[in-house]
Amino acid sequence: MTTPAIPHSAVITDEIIRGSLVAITDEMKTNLMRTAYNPIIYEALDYTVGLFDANGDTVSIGLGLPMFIKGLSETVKAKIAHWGLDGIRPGDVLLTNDAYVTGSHLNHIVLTVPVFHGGRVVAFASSMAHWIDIGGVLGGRTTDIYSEGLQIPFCKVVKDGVEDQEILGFIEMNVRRPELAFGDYRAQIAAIRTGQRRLSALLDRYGLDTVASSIERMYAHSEALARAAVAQVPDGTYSAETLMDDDGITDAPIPIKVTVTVEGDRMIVDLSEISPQVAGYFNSGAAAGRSASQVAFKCLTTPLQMPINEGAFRALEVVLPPGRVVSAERPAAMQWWMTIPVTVVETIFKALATAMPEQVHAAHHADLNIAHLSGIDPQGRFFQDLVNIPGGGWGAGRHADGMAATVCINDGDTHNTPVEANEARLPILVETYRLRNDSGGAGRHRGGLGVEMTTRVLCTSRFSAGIERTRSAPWGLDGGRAALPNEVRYSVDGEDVVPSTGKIDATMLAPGDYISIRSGGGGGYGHPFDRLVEAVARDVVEGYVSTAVAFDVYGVAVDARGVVDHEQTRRLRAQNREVTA
Amino acid sequence: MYVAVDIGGTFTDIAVHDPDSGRVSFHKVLSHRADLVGAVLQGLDSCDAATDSIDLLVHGSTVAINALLERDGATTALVTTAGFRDVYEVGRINRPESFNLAFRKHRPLVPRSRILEVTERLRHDGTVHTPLDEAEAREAARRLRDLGAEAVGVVFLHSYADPTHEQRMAEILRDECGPEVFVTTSSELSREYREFERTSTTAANAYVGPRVSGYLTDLQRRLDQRGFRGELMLMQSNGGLYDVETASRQCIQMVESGPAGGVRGTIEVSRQLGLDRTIYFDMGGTTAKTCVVRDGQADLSSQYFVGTYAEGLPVRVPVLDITEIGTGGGSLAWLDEANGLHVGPRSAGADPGPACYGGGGTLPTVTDAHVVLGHLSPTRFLDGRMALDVDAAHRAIREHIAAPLGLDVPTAAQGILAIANAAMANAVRAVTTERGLDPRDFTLVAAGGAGPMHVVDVAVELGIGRVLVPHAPGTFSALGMLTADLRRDYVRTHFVRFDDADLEALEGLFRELEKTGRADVGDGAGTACIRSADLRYVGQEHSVTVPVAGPLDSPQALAALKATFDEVHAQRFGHQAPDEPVELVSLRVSAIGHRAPLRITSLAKGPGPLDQFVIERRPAALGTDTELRDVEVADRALMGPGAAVKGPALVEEAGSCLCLPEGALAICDDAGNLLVEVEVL
Repeated sequence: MTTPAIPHSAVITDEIIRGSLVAITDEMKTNLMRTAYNPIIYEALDYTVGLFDANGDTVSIGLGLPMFIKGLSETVKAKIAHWGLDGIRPGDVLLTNDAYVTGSHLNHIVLTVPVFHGGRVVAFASSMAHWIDIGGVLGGRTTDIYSEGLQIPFCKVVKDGVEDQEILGFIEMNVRRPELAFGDYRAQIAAIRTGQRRLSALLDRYGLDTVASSIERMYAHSEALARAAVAQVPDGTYSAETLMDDDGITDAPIPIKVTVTVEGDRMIVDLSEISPQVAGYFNSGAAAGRSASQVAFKCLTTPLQMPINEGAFRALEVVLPPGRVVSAERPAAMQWWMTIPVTVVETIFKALATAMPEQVHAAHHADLNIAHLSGIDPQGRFFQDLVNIPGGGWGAGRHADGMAATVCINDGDTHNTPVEANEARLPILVETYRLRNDSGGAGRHRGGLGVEMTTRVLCTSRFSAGIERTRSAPWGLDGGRAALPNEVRYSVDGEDVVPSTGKIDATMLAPGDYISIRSGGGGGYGHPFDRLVEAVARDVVEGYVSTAVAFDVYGVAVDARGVVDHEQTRRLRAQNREVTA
Repeated sequence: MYVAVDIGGTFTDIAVHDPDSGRVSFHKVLSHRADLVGAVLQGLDSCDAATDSIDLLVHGSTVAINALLERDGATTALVTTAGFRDVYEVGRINRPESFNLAFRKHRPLVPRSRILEVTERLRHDGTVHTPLDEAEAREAARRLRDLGAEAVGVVFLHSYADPTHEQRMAEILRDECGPEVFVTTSSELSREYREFERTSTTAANAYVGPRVSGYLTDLQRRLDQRGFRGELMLMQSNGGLYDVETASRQCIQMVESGPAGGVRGTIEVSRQLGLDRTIYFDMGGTTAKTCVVRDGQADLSSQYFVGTYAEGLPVRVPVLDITEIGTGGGSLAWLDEANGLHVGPRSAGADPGPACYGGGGTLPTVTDAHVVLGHLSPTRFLDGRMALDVDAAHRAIREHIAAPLGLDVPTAAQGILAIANAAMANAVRAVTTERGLDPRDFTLVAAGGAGPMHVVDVAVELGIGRVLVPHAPGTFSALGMLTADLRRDYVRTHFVRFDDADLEALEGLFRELEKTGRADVGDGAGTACIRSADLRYVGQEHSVTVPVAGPLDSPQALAALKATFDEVHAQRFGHQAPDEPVELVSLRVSAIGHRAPLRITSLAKGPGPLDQFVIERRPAALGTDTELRDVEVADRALMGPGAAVKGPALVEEAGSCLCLPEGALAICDDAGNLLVEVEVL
């Protein structure tokens, strides 16, 4: 159906097309989420869909996973480079999970279809989704990519409309749960075909020239908004350094150093001094290092502007030489790719804390706090799953307390799994899922609370964990205090274990053994003595803060019912503000 | 006499049906928010039905939703399973605004200090892991009494599988706290898994419970004083009616009664006109709503958010599957820092309102665009009760949109409407193409004050060739309520793979739900129970509701159900997996007490000559026109059966106006509905 040119001025057409592109990527997102076969997709939303122009640049992206803001575009570009636009035909579906292209781990399967108009490729629809298993070592330590599962090079899994059964056969023989893998594969294909169909209809309705020039103006528009925001930041060079616990192989902390330069309306994030790639599986590819910079940039400049597209990042330059822990090269181990970039984002925030005090919040728990379980359930069926994504505290800002129990920065709309759903699916019994009192950093604005989730296994189970930031606690800002960091405890054959790290190699648990994940809180903002006495008293009544912390850290003498001793409080708060901590 | 009273934010709408004469009349009075019962009585006074002659009074009330939105409910407490006190505050941990560092998630209705834990625990299959500790339960009840709780919700883990512990806890609460405390359990509201959503539902029911039940008692008493001897029924979010006694306990079921009335009205006009596929399209002051009706039924959705998805409170009760977007007559048109033009979701609201209302508003709205383009008469708006300030509308659009963009004012106004229409067309796509339906197979039904002004342009955008503007679109929800059936919906989570299914147990569960249904809506000849099941492929989380045709008493019946599921999955999502195992998640039964359809007589008037209903010609720009030219203006009240108006033209009625661009033809039918044929390219 073709209609005559719409006689609107460009600014109106642009807004109509913008709304339609957002609606298309939203629909692709819903379609994939609602039919996926594993909770990492349908609850954790570890997937991303998008529309891309013929260069592979992002037109609109439906996240999913904010950390994949760059990975999808880079993978589409790599596919274009591999086949050339001439080598891609209407009935093709392009596949890869090359970790060094996506920047992430092998579980991320990227499928892409071309959108043809007038006999040539004008765009692409693509989806990335995390498959629950891609083969490789089960719950163990890996030190290279070869032990992490099946690597799928660029290939056409559907060629001219014909599905390649030999490729699917390779996959089927190499993954532990092929029925789940192929369920997710079908959901991914349906989502990108939806995008392909809807974008074609939009091109038919408005014509390629109109849509293409609207997209170009959308890029320019997003760029202008971002540049206007950067121009508000004082010029200068800002740096910060943070430490990750270790790489799971050696005990040495991993330094994360970033330098941010602001010059007029552009920003340069320099990651050259970040740690080299490590022996353990905490590496990620260059797409991840650039994504981390882009996530930070988006948060600080145009957080609510949609769609996220190529133009939004034109004011950002990322300096990232190869061989760093976020630009790792083959054969670096990549399984836990998502961990370090969270702290990279936070460290960029930390660097800019004084330059952008209205935007930057104190640090947060900064990890997914993931533990894995696998085994044979009492019905004799193999199971393999996350224990849950429990959430943790968010950092306080200049104007507000931090939220309790939310997912870390790179994981946006990720949900936890309901206890009722988890117990119906896995042989576990959850004992408690509660806020961790006193875990939020003290401050004029208090950091959000972390949580404690304690789970007992009901049958012999293999347990592993890759929890980070158990040593470097979420920091406060402007005199605000640090929060409690992440922590894990468990038992083996009834004996309590208090590990010195959050990285637990595959460990067999007996029925009745527990896993207790305690996530960190968010850092505080401003000096705790400046917090309103009534706010401290209310926190005590609600149980977020103990009377002891109220007394020692906030300088408020208050009983459990919230009754304040004002005289004593005045004396406490008259002390030297630097000695209380 | 049958009467429906629908209280809205600004107006109370009344529909009266006299079964002897077959006449239906509509009335509109201003709502008094301070005295909602008074508003109902005043509404009854405004129409010609004597209170003692009313056989059935159907009421749609905003009392529940207002209490939630304004945070003006009872001092509420919760009792939870030990270890899970914080489920309500933790929620689902997601941040839908992923890049917004200042994002705030839902704000609970109950503070943590009024959430107490009691030792007890079920497993997912309903077996008892830890029995209810009665002494602790009693102690918790006493503490809540001392804390001054006016309402208490009880939510225990896995109570969907067995409500015994919750029911016992409720007994203890009633025993210790007395009858003046409102007590509710999660299992009486929802028997579906997902503890946060059930907790939020229970908390919301408790929070509004004392207010709603008090309101209903007061209403019944004051009606009785006026000699009311008929039956009082309440409109629910599922599009059906329930009685006062149930409504006083399950208050949260009425939370979306207004839109449900509109969908119910669509079902009714679709029935009258023999249309089997229609789309309800309602546009009011702040939002637009849309919902698909097929073969006399609208789908249900099992979740609703009070507020938005991002920060709203989930309520898990059966709600008609209505999609709502922030585009209404009051939506503001605005430019961002880089001169991008946007419409909504910010709204001028009722105060100050659109610039043309003269209430102090200076920012341009969708309504101002209509005024600039000549769609609304400055002197006859709301039957002449409100004069429109045309200059103010021009000024607002010129200063804030047209001048900065270098456009003329009508082009800017037309752009504002085009953007609003495109957004609403996307909302209609969300309920059709996204579910495997083609909107071109449907008739678009316009309701609400702004619906008729946009409906034809939205139809053109979607390629829809047929539009229906029902008689009295501004009181359409009241008509829907008048014709609603009694209805209760029951859901029971019961996880089982088809390979492992015990057919007798499933059939037994269905029968149990049907028995409850017949007890609740009455076991008369008009009662029907409709079965369906939520199914998914093993491994999936989200399920699809599939109709269950007959008894599930044989492996063949189960296989047929699985085949239906494969088909529905393919239609809705574009793929299926017939070789994969299927799992049952929940069983559903809708018990419907059908009322005899209203016999509504035709309009008396015959088709008059054109000049009898064309009252003037005035300049207006319709469709994609940016230049105003003289068009015919018809008065809908003067149009009789057979009267036809050809676009470009306007058809005016109190508070609204049907915009007919060139190529559209509106014809009045015997019942006073306007059927519009739209030229589709």
